[in-house]
Amino acid sequence: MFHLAQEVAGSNPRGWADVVRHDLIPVASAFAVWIGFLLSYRTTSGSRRRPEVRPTGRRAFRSLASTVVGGYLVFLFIIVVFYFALGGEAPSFLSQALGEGSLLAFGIVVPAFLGLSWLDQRGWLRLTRRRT
Amino acid sequence: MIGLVGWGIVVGGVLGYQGFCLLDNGDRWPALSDILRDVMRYPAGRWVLFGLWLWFGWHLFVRGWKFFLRA
Repeated sequence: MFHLAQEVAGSNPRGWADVVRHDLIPVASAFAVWIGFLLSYRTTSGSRRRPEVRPTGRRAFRSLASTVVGGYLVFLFIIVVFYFALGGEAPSFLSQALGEGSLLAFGIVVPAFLGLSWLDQRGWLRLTRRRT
Repeated sequence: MIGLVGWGIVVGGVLGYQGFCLLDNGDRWPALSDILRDVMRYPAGRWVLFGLWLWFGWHLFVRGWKFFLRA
């Protein structure tokens, strides 16, 4: 037998409040995000055949920085709201998660993305479709 | 065990839907990749997707580990 994770928060609910905190709000939040994706698709579906614009130079750097910083803030929000506020995790868990998230985002993802993009641009690794 | 079966059904359903949409020539059923591509047109969409991706990777592979060794 193998374990996928530690003891799951809320696995032994003591009342309705626990069910709401650990089950209802997370599932409803995930559903709301999915509905947001579908609404976004619906509003832009007329333009989905439009060719993608790939920023270059300084605009590419700004776009990457915006995505990484904004995404990291979303990650922080998830940790603080769902693990700390609703999940009842200890403050030490919070600081550990934020450190691990920083390592993942800025120490692994960004260098890997930059390295793979560089290889793709040099033509040594085909990761994107080339337009003819 | 029931959790693994549940997640297997969910992931199988998602992959099956994506495969069906990619094989279907019409626009009636949008593929998940089409939906995510549209979401990524907006900065806020990119932030949410990257944040969820970070959380997913952290939740599955990093949480509770100590320097690549299980705590």
